[in-house]
Amino acid sequence: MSKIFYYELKRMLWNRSFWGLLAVNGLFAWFVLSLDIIQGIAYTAPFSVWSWCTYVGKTLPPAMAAVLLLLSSYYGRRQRQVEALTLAAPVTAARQMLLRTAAAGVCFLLIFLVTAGLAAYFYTALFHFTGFAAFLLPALLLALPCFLFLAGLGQLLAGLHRSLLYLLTAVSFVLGYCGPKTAFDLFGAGYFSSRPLALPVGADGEPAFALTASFCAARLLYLAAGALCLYLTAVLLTRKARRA
Amino acid sequence: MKIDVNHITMIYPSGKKALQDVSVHAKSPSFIGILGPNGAGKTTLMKLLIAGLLPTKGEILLDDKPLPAQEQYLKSQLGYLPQSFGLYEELTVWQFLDYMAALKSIKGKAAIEEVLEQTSMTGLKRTRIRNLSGGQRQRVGIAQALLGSPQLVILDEPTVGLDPEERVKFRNIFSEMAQDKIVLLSTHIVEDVQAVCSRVLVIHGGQLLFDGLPAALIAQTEKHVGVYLTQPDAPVPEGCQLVSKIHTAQGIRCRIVAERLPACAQTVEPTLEDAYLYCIHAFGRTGKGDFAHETVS
Repeated sequence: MSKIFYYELKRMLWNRSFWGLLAVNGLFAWFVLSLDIIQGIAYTAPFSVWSWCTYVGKTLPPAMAAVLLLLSSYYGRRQRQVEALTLAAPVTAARQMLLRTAAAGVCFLLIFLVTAGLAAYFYTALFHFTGFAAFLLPALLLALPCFLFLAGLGQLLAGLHRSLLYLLTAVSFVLGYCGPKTAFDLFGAGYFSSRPLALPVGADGEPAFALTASFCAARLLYLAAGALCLYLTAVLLTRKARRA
Repeated sequence: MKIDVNHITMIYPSGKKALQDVSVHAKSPSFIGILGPNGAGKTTLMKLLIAGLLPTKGEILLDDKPLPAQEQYLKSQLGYLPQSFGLYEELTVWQFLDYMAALKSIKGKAAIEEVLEQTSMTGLKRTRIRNLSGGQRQRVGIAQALLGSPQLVILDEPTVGLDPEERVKFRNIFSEMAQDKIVLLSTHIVEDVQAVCSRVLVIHGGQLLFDGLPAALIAQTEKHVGVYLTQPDAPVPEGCQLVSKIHTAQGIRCRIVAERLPACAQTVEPTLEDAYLYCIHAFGRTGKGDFAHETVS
């Protein structure tokens, strides 16, 4: 399996689109940092966890758009032609799909590391801030459910019709900036930029950072929905393989 | 390995009947050539055999067990080359074969080196697939089908795009493989079947018209093949199927197959191509296979 994963990853990384999308994501992240985050979010410091989460939430939509575009290449005519060979192999279509989802996950991680690296440089250079340990868990809670849900839903839709994946990419991108500011905000930028305003200010002049139960429950729901979508995609691809 | 195709009928969701009550039995070793015009049902039969389609009626048994229950086993023993296929353009020949070997759970480099050698692709192993010619791509397709020396090899028009020398070479490779395996070769090139196959199936209109030895098919065409000299633009006599038309110093020499040869035609020894055309011609005339099926085990 590791070799199949290696080649799926290699094919994604070899793709010039990936590097273009990575550059666009990096550029966008820098704009978010220098125009938005630098001012601090909801009257908190630019390096507060609230600001950091808002930054992550704002950089996730283009990162996910990049992942969905990378995955879309697996549902095109060219891929179907290769499947004439690969579906005759013992490794099932479902397993191949899971491996390419994992490869897309690595691409997502690379994009995330670039945006996080830019933030680290930004915080260190401008504010001499290095307390990044507190950023890790919120970032994970934001990024992982978001990736699994959209990658799962995207592949399920692409399995039905490729154009639905493009529609999802556009819809999710719009939702990333105009979505609900509740705990169910998939990307979290709206939620984390409005939540501090409803909290009392602490001794350090900022509302203390805390993740609510409803937010954590929503993240778990997104994880479960993503896993369900991947399962349904596996079922769909297995049925399609029968009609190859 | 043993395959039993029992009374298979395949009707696509569009309503197209691709195969009708087809039964074929094969066990190792055998080299079976499948002949038939475009749309005859050859590719459908092959897709059924690789569990890429589920039959509307009938069943396929692999080693006496239903194919759906044996799908993983089948695929672990299968080398398949479809009629049209794609390759990952960004990978090199070696990388693509390495990827396919991983999908087939074949470990080590020896299997890849072996098929590269067999298909004369060793010198091109570091070439990216996007830089290969059509014939070279076809050879990559053949190479992946031969990976791991599978027990069942299904080849759909494998020699398309190959030059005559390569064609001869590959059919010899397939012939060698068939010494201890089941090799199914679907092709339009009757000469390839005549040269190497020990058994031939003729499919037309979704029906199996003939299943037996090539010699038996030829024998049934005795006295139905003739040649005659004619002039340009002269029509082919009624009820005759033209096999070839060769310009000679004496005029145009036509080779025909017919249920009853015209008086002007001189009977000649039939070839497998004549026999195949006569079989198809007879089906077109009567709507059913007039040819006797041999029992081949």
